Amino acid sequence: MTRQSAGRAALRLLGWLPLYALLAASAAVVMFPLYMTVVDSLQPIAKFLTFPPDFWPHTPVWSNYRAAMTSIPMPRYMANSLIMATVITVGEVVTAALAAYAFSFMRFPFRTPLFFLFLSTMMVPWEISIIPNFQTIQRLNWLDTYQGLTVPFLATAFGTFLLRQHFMSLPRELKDAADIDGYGDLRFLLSVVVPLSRAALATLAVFAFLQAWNQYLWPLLVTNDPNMRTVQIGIASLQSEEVQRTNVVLAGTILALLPMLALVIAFQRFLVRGLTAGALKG
Amino acid sequence: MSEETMAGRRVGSPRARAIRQTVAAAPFLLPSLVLFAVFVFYPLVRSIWLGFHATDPFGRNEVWVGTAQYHDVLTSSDFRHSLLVSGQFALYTVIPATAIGLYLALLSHRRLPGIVIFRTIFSSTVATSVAVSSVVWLLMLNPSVGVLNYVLGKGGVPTESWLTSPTWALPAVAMTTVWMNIGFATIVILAGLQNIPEELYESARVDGAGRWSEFLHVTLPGLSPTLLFVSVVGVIFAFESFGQIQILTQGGPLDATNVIVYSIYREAFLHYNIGLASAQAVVLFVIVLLLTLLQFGVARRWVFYQ
Amino acid sequence: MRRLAALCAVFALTLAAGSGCGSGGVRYSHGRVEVRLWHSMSGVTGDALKKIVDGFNASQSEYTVVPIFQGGYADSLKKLVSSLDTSSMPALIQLDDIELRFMVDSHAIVPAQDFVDADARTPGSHPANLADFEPRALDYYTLNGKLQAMPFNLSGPVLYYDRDVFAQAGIDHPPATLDEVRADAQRLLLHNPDGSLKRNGIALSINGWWLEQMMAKQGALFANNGNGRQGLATKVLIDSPAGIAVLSWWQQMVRSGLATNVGTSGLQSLLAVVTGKSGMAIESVSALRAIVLALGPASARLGVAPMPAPPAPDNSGGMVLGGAAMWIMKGRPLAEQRGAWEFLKYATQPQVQAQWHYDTGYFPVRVSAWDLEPAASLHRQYPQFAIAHDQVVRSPRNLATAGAVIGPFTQVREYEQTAFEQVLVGGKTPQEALATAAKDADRAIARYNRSVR
Repeated sequence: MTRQSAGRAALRLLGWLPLYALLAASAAVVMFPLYMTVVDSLQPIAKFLTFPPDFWPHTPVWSNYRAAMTSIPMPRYMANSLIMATVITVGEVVTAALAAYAFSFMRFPFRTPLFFLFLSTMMVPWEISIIPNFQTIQRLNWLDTYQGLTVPFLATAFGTFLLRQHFMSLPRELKDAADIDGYGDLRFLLSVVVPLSRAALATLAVFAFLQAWNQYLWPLLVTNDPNMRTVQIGIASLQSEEVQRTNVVLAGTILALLPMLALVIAFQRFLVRGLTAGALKG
Repeated sequence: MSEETMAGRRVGSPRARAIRQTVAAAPFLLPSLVLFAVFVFYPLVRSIWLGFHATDPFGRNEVWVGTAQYHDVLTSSDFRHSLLVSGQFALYTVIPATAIGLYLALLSHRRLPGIVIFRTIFSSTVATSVAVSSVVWLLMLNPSVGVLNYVLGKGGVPTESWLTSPTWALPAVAMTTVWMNIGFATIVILAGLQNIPEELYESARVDGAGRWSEFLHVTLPGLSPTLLFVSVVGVIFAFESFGQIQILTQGGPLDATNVIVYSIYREAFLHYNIGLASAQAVVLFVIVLLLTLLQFGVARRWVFYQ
Repeated sequence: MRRLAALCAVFALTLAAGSGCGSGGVRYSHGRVEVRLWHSMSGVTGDALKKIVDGFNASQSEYTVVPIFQGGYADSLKKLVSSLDTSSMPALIQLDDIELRFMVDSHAIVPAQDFVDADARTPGSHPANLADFEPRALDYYTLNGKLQAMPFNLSGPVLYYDRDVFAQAGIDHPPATLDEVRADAQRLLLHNPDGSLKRNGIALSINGWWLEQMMAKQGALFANNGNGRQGLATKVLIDSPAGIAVLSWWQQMVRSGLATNVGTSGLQSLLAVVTGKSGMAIESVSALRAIVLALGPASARLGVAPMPAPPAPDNSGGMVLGGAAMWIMKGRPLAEQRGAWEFLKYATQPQVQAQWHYDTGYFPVRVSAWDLEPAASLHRQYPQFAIAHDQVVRSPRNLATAGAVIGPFTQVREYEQTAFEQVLVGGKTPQEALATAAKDADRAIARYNRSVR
């Protein structure tokens, strides 16, 4: 690197300085609520009755995090959420892949009207189905069960739509070749379509998992047994029940957030694709 | 799966072929169709039916009451109030979240060393749930020991008992929701920015357009489908909001935060008036349907698709 | 289904041990019949309940009671209603007083009276000695001539005040009427050098319960038809002079700055007294134990007095002794119901209640528990408990103090709360606000009464 170009680089960095300052300030504002939660989760409980609040944990109480894992049932809540979100994710991907395959590779009567029927489910707002769905689960005696938490969400029009868009973009010749080789539909789907659609499937999976993990109203309604609480219901109810251990509850809140944060950062690419699937199809 | 059905043998009448095709497609479609039938279409019909019936709080003694409950809902000032609150809530959440998302996306849509870190931070709140975000903000908003009042007090701004003031409760709940939705808005708008062809900017520059005019004539039109998407989804989110209300205000004070879903929840699961709650849900469904159709109609007029 | 359940109940009372009626069979754990108890006791009170449960489980080998915390009473009730006729339903549930009518109308419970009577018919059983139970609590939970639920944790509102601050202001006894509160509050005001208020007279929270109690203290009925005890209540009487008197006082106190409105959290009002921001507060006596535990000897500063209210004509007024009670669910198999009843008899023994009172500050259900250890030593150490109890014992027993019985009471409470808010922050007059609340409440009651008929 010549002296001149190094000088230019330095100059350019200097020019960026105000921009970086703006970026940093914006990032600080966005992160502030979470930062304060982390600070509070490391405070002794007595600090919660003092004013002004601390902006730095001067004597961090790391044991709050241990307490969150032992004295409040965070592991149990996380396990419930994990099971629920995994089942919903797998279910959504499987049902959507099957339906999307039919809509993109198979011929059958009423294909277009059926596809519109699928899409029409997106127009039915969740509010209207809450009460009847709750009654259905109640009648099936599925309160406090994983099937009650998951089954209503195992099929999505969004997922079908997303995968169909991708399947349609695969070359038709693949199907012809498969037909000649005597592949059945299921075999073709599993051994050709799925491997070629990993990214689209991952997109749907990340999306489904995130949504399922963050559900609130439905788990609130269908779980009575505290052992069946999901992590969201868990922290929301602990927050009011365990006022004398607010710091531990906040530690639990951070623990509940971490897996999702990791997921979002690791799979951001897929998430963006999922979120924008609707926006950019002009 | 029978392999010969789709192997292209040309046998049988069109009718037989239709049957064969249906049989082949059924296993692929039935899982979704059955689930939709049970958990989407049946509830729709069932809700309408429930709206015509009254029961005791335990779901028994069902009697046909005709349109009485629908009439109650349509004439009740409480329901209109809840609709209004939901509308206000949508306004208070969608506009700021979209604007902030746009700002953060524009800010981080540059080639700079380390910009990925900022993009990640700006989109991080997409990982937060209503429960997490409400618990986080509940502490910030505490009138006596919360950070918000401390910071405002330092800045000489009058402090407030945010969640118990009829004036401030809804904006306060909206603020927690805006924070939660910023990440989503930023991600989508960033992707939208990447989709605007570079040539458009180049030709604008050739025409001697300044930054502002470039933004007005290239970026905004290019982003219009994205911004529409963000705001439509935001409106849907707003009308479905429940968790933050339940955790932060329980619909109070003076019903200032009694959004429509909370009102349905309260009627059904705290007052045990399933019929009345169902009637509310049905009326809401019709309104949302009309609004959606209207939105698409408007969108067709002004959104610029490439 | 209902007929089947009724049949089960009949069998429950005639047979010693039952076969599986109701939803699902008997739950067993380690060879014992498992009795699930849904409760709303958290923190200190949750630990105290756990102690009783452990004591019961150790005292016999037939039943295991499993306590399950279900959030607040409203959460717990919501879950109960949704689990009726399903296998998630518990055998025993703790619910607050205002659900009396609702639970009776559910036809899903077995009245406690049926077990009392069955015990009396069965030789060799150890019947509950109702003569030693707090009669006001029995009054509350008796409907249609039957004791419907077993009273368990009894409480009532009291006035908390800062004794030091009272002494400094030269006030030698706590106020008994609302007018006295106003006069004392005036003397308790303290200003900062810059003229702003450093301490106000009283911290007031918004709660329909205060209105109900203050009406009973005036000897006034809250609902028609003898508070719903002589016939189905069809109207609330909150827009009567007794109700208007309470809300007018409230409005004047807050408007004049003598009182501060802390919103719906009673805890906040008590915190205001403890931190010196207010001289007095009205809160449930059930908060006293936690405060005393937290403050230790420093709590001597915290005075307790009967809740002030407008004076009643000819001493007809008093406190409503509600709190919460335990309900036995009809849908569970007979063996579980039996276990639930045995647990309730254990939990209301004088010795157990003396410990419960000591641990939680709730008034004991048994009269004789008051003088037993460790209750007696608690009273010696903290005379506040005895003062609070005085207002119970001095309450006359009549329809007003027995408390109102209304089906949709939760909803009525919401309307009461709205009336408070409208008066305090919404700019309505007490007359207008209470008239609106009464109209809304009457409509909810009519709808409810129609639906359960």
